[in-house]
Amino acid sequence: MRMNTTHDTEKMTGRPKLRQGDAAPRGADVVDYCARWALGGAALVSSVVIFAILGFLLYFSAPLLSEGMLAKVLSWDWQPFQGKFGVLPMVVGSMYLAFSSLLIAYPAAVGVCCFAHGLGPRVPARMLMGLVHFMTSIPTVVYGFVSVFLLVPAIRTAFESGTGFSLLAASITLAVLVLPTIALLINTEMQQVAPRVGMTCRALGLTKVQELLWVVLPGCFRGLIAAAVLGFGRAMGDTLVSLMVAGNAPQFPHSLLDSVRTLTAHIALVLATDVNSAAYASLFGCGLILFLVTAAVNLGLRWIEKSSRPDRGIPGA
Amino acid sequence: MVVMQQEQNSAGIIEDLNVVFFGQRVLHNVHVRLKPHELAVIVGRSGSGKSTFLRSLNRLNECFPGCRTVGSVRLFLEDRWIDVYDSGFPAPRLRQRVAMVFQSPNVLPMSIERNVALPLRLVMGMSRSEAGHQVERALREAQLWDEVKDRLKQPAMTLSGGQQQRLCLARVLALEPQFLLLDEPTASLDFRASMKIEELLLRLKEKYTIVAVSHSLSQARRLADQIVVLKEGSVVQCLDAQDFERSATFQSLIEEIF
Amino acid sequence: MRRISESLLIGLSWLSTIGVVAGAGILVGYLIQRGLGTLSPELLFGDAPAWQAFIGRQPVWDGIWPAVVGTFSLVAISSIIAVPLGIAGGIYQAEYATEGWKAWSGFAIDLLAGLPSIVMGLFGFSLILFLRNSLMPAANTCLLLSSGCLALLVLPYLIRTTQTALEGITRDARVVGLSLGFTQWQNIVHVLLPSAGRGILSGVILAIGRSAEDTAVILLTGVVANSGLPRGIMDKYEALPFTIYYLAAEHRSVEELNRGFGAALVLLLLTSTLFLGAYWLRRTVERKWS
Repeated sequence: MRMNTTHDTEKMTGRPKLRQGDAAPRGADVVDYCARWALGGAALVSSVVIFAILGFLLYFSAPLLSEGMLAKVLSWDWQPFQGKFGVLPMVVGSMYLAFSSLLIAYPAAVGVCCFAHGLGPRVPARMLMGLVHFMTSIPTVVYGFVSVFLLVPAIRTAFESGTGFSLLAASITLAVLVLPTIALLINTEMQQVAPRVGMTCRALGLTKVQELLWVVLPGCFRGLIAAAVLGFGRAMGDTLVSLMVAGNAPQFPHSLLDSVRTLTAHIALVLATDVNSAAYASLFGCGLILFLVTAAVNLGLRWIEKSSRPDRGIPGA
Repeated sequence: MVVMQQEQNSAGIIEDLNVVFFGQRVLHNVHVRLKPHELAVIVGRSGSGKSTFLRSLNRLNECFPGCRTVGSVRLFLEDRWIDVYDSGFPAPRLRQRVAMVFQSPNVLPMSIERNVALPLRLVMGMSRSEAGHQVERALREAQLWDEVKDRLKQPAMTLSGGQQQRLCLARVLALEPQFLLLDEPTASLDFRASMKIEELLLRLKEKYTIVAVSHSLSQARRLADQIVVLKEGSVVQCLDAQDFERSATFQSLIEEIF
Repeated sequence: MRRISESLLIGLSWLSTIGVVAGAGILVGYLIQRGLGTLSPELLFGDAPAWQAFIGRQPVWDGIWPAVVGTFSLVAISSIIAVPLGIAGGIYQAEYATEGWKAWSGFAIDLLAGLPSIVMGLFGFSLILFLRNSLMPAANTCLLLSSGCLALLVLPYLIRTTQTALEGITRDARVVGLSLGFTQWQNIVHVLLPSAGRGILSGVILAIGRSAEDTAVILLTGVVANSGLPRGIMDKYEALPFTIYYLAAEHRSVEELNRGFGAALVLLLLTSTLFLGAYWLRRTVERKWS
């Protein structure tokens, strides 16, 4: 007479099926059912939007694939009025700027986190992380604005050449902008590792520096990589700093003092000045590149995260 | 015929119950028979599956990820036998009828009165005035009324641990359950508060079928009509009142557990 | 060798700390030094009589009032779109989603969060291009479009903060309501959301800050330098971040430059107020759970 029945959690999350002889569903069950669908609809929005964005970018950059446009776009010349739509200088510009700003921001972020985790006095350390947190709330355009009137003239006078609007100025500004993001991520990671090893290290007689350098930082390896990848994504995606202080010349930069134009700034500049629609396709090409870089960054982050899943367990058997 | 006979004198029949979390078996072929208006106490080491067994009676295991339940749990509810896992009996109504009190008193962050009244209004669809009467009745039944009647609007967090646990009890009693599941209800309380709860349970047994988990053998001896011993997810012994009156049997029970 | 690398780390940590403090200090200090003097009714309304300009009777030509109103409109409309959607999505992710759906949609949400805002702007722009070529030849960039794009920009943050706040609730607390016979929705409304409320609210505030400061999206979707107060949601408008950007490049006089500093300081005050509000809320949450 017994029946063996199987129930999976997944299957059970829905409303239990009703059979004949059961009471009619209560009002609350109907509300529950509707809420589930409405919330599901809301959760669907992000996925739909991502597909829509990718779709539009592909649709509008499709002309690039025909009429030999691709070769024109993948060249070093941007002279839209002569029919030259090369975007390679901007690709290189974005890369240069992202890497050079990371070169400043990343070690500084690690340094700041080490200061906060024992190398600095206690009170300043706590205030420092508060400040870093606060810096995330400063508008990008404000970073750019101050840089235009403070850093750019300083570089102009210091090197006595050019306008000061340069890769160097943009790198420094962008470094200040992305540093908090990187530092906060590393900090979160260190907060998880440090308490677990702190006692042991002290018992072994390690100094605070030794603990950080040989135990905590290696223990945060994944977090350190993730922070670098995320920082790179942020630096690539920034528009305003490069638009305001990098000079925006569509050329291959040969020195730190050269002016560069990034992909993001390029999109903003060209659309703002409303050139002929032939240039649009190449802009959507730039957008597509940025989309793919973001996707690559996110896939990278996922891959880093994957092997460090939190363990799941039995709820207090 | 055998089934009929079994059913006649029971309130619940659990057969071949297996519960798996993420592929790890927590309960293994558990058979237990619950008698009406009796208090069954589940004992065993921590990790032996006591709480999981309790939660399988009101399908609360499903609220945790990675759970699979196989087997049959039949309870006598609303004047008929309900196969908990196969009848389509709605889980919220099941949990109302098979009420549970947890190890640590988990009052909701609201007033004393609302702690009892909110479930009444949501689950039983009562009006404000109906709920008011029911709140008083339940608080009296949990012997809390005299202590809180002048401070019903105060946050429930201001009560002492023992009072909070009795409030949790009142909260489920108000829902007119038929079974009470108690997951170590006195574990986080001091001696005095524990004794008060134990007295209360002995009285409540007149009205409800009670299943309780306990850490303490002496408590089990004081309260139980039936003791079920779990070890690594299996039932190793099932004793009734006469059994554990005999010290030899009880001695073997102690050895079994510790 | 070991000695050297240890000393290097100490040096690096002090150096970068001093650098960060100096950088932030110079940034804020310089802005206050140049901008504080400009904070006055004139910064907002210029030569126009303040009250008349405030209620929109008099156009403002040399003040940032239209930009302030534009930014508030942007924030308001984008919040109306994004906040309900984000909280609902977050609830679904935390309470209903299956593991498979979480894995996929989690990727979509992270991707959306990481997308450069200029790409979101480009999306809005292409939407108008598309509409012009098909259904609505008269479609143009406007306040509604910008707000919609900003809403999509902050949507992933709202989903994530809601999800995190809900998932932070302990297992025991989450089962109480269910054990009393609540349906899942009743449990969410009456038990889980009240517990997660402050965390969600701080996420909402940060999202508002984000949509107030973003420039790249509005750059491509309808902001202009001189439009006066926004007349409707289908019209062009001004906004604070764009005004700052514009004045940095195009100021023609010392007065205009000072107005730029004033606008930058006003925006900074706005976003830091929002930040402090969110920070305070989050602190009280942590105290409550610990």
